[in-house]
Amino acid sequence: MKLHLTIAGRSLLIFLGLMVLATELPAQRRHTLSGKVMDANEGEILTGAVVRVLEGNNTWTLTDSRGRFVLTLPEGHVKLEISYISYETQSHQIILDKNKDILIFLKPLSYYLEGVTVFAESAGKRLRRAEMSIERIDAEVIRKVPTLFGEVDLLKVVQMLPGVQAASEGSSGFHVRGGSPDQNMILFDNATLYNVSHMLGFFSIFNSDAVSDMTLYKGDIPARFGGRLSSLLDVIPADGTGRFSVNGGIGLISSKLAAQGSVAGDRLTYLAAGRRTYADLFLPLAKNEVIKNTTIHFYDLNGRVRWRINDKNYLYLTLYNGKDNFAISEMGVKFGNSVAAINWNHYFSDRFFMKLHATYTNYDYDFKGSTNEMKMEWVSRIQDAGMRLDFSYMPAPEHLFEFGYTSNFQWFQPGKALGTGTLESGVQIEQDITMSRRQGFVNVLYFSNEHKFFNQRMELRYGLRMNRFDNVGPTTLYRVDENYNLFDENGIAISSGNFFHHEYGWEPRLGISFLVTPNVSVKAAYARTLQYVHLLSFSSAGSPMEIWIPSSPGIKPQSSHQISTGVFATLFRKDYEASVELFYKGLDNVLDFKDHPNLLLYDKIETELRFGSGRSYGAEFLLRRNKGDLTGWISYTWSRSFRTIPGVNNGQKYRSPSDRPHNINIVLFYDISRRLQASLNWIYATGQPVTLPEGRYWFYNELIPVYTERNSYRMADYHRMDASLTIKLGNMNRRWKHSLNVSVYNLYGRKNPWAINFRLKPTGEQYLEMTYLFSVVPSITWNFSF
Amino acid sequence: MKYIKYTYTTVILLTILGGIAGCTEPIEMIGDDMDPKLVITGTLSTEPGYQIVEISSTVPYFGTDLPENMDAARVMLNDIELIRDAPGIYTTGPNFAAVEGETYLLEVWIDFDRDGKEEYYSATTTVPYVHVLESLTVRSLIQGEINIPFVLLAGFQDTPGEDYYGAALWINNELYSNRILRYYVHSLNDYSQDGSFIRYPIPEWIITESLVWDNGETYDLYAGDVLTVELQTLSKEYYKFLQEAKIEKNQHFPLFSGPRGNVTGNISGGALGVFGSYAVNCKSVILPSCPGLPERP
Repeated sequence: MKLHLTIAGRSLLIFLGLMVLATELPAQRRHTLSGKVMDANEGEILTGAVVRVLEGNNTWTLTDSRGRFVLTLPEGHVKLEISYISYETQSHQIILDKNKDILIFLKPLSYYLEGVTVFAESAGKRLRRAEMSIERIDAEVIRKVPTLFGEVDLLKVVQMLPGVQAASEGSSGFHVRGGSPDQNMILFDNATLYNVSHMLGFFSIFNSDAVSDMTLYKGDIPARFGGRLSSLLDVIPADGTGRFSVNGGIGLISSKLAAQGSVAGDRLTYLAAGRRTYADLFLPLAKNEVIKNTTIHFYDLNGRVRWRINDKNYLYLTLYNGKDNFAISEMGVKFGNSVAAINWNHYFSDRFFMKLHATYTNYDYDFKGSTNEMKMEWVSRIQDAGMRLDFSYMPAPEHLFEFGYTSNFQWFQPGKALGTGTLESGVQIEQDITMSRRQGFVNVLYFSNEHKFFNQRMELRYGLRMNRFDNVGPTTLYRVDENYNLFDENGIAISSGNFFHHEYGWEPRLGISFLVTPNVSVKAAYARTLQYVHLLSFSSAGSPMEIWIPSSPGIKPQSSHQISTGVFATLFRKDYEASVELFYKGLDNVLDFKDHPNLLLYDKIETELRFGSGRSYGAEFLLRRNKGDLTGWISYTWSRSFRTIPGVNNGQKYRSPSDRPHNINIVLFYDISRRLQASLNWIYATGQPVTLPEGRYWFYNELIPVYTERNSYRMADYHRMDASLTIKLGNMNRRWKHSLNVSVYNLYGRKNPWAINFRLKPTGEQYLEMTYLFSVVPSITWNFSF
Repeated sequence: MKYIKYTYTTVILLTILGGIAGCTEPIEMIGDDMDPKLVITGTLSTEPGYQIVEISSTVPYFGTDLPENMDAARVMLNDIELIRDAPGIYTTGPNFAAVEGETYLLEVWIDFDRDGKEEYYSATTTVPYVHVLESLTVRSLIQGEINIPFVLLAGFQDTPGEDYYGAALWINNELYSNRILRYYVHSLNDYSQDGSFIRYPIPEWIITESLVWDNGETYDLYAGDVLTVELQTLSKEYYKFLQEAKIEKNQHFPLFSGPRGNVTGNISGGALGVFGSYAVNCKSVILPSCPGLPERP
């Protein structure tokens, strides 16, 4: 506790000091000049645009993730220059006689007019930053990548980035640098998401119409973020634009509609988007009674409001609700997420600002079933209420100081099943199986500092997260010995509100970059990460049954150390970017299950888990083109990933499920003409590790397999090509625009193994049978906007 | 709990069928061959009869060789030497019945590695107490109807504490559950119905006009057929072995299946297999006449 107070006290002193700096009275009357920088053609926000005051003290700033900037300047004439990569630089004369808020539309350079922005950040900026292992992609790119059933999917694009692999065919889950899917933190407007799958992972919960861009941190995670070992996927919701507009799409299995606009000028903007699958609408036409009575669909709704209260205060509200519904006859399951996030951005000055976030996430599933005699309901729920306070202070262009505090309270109800009914004899029965509720409370203080040296050729970034994790009652505590045997079969009842166990953790972060030449930089980074929540699921594919639990006396926090280094370059007038990154990641207390664990409504889960260490290492090569008619990226990743866990594989080292040494991703976009755009991607990955038997014996008229080593074999290599063609229809100069998108998933019909099972021939010989999910899957979508 | 597991199974099937239009095909992928390992399996039942212990060796998984039975130098059950009945097969006398609550020690001496010295292997099991199957009925799965598909409801009084159950099915006195996948296992220990009267719907045996066997064959059923369920109370180690063997024999899919692993036995000395025991009790029910279920010709 002493440590906690000391940290808090130091941070308070730092905060007060900065407040004093920020509120220093000016010698001259000053006003606030704020604004937003947007694309003149599409109305998209431009993040990272440079806004520079040309005269006077050469003041400058960058637009934030919402395209906004704030400058506090002396009263008088201001000459402003706004520049952004691939856009025409603009100059504006402004008479600053009061606080003003302006809207700036930048025009894309003429040769670039029909191209696409592959990444949402300029090449030059990426080159200089001390951050590495980061990928930013905007919604426009996400929309262009051909996908399954034509359903645009953010997570499927993530899986095509270097160092990232899909957990399995069609899955929303992904591995980052040898980590497991639960080691990826996924944030939507800072709200933590625990299950991002629709329809068992074939689609994600992210509607591309409601997403502005996303950033994937593959290991060098900024100090303001944490909570998972391997990566952070930060998904930024889209803001509504000033002009009222509607866009939508009608596809083979789903349709979507989005509307956006503003009221009171640009002071309040809004965006509402929704989509629904409708394959089930046709099921009543089926002759088969079972199919006729089947329900299978999902929907999701997004809402976003931005309110510019005044020049220094902005309020953002994000809402999400989505639900999947599967049912057949009297049985079915519903599951989904609800998310609410409210953000308040306050600019103390053009160099010091604050962001206050309050978030709430709920994920639940609900099975219901009934027969003549009984009804049953099985529910599970995860709730996460979070608050974070981020401060950023830029005392000089070469110096950025960030600090803040985050707090998350997590409620986990892993499972509660209730069966009720009346027997033939008239006896009322009630069966109640309730797994203990588990609760975690995570509080984090952090700071980070960025320095630029040598005329901004070198950048150093360092930071520290200081965590305290608490288990909070009510719950039943199961303690295990070193052999995972329970000390007490019935556990210990913990009363409500009892903070009965805590953990402290330190997560240092360090990054350095050096610009060797204007086009080449070298970087290195170190990050330690801690994870206090753990996924208890076999599934690698987005099962709705996923159960999360927090750390406890029997479940230590997982931790990792990652070091990475790389060379980054821009080529041919920055049209191309190339990079090579090397990484090594060590994992401690990494979690796996004993053989044949009992995870189904089993409260004493501590007895089923095993803990050990792991390591991953590899190299990522990337070449991408950002400008021109042909854009996209090609990446090759070589990586290995292993685990060593006592109690698993006889304590010997074994391949982790993500150990797939070779991975190639080719993603290309080509503007054939003003009306025609084509996209193509090709993915290759070494086969997924699999455990095969090497011996067998008879028991109960069955051949029982005998295994010698976990994951010592591999499935066949995975590869797939997808293609799409977008045809813009009608008069392109009118407000009403529409287009047709034709896409083909798995163009050459590769039968990629999804599962392998053992079969017996009539001759008594065993053989292997693979299950594959998809052959060639064509789809067509009509999109419109006005 | 059984209803819950049944619902879970149904939902899994539903989602697999509804969400995944998977196709299958054989593939050429052969694993290495392991060195042979000794396998000892034996069970004791409270039903009087021959109790059998079988000793064999593993064979390569991918091949046509059948596991080879092996003779031991000596096989003892609580100081009684078992009789060699056939190669690798050792039995008690014809009317041996395991006694409820008693612990039995199995000991085997065998020179498995053929180095001229006998190795020693052993295991123990404590015979559980009989649970009387008080009722056995058929119930329609479709609410409000008396029609196929039916499910068998087995009613019995559970005792407080850990209990492990198995059930085998006979159809007209012919054993249907002659393989693990047609056998049913379940545990009851710390759940709320522990110690209460239980009526289990047994999902392994959904009764329609025919039972579909796991190898694709079907077994036709008719009104008037006699279904007999043998309720077995299993020793813990035997239950665990059966349960894990069933998991290994079932198909694995990424959505719901964990990593594959060896079935846990209780034979000391590094041999595979299990030595377990169970107590038995039976009851029968006659399939009623109803639409969809033909009369036996």
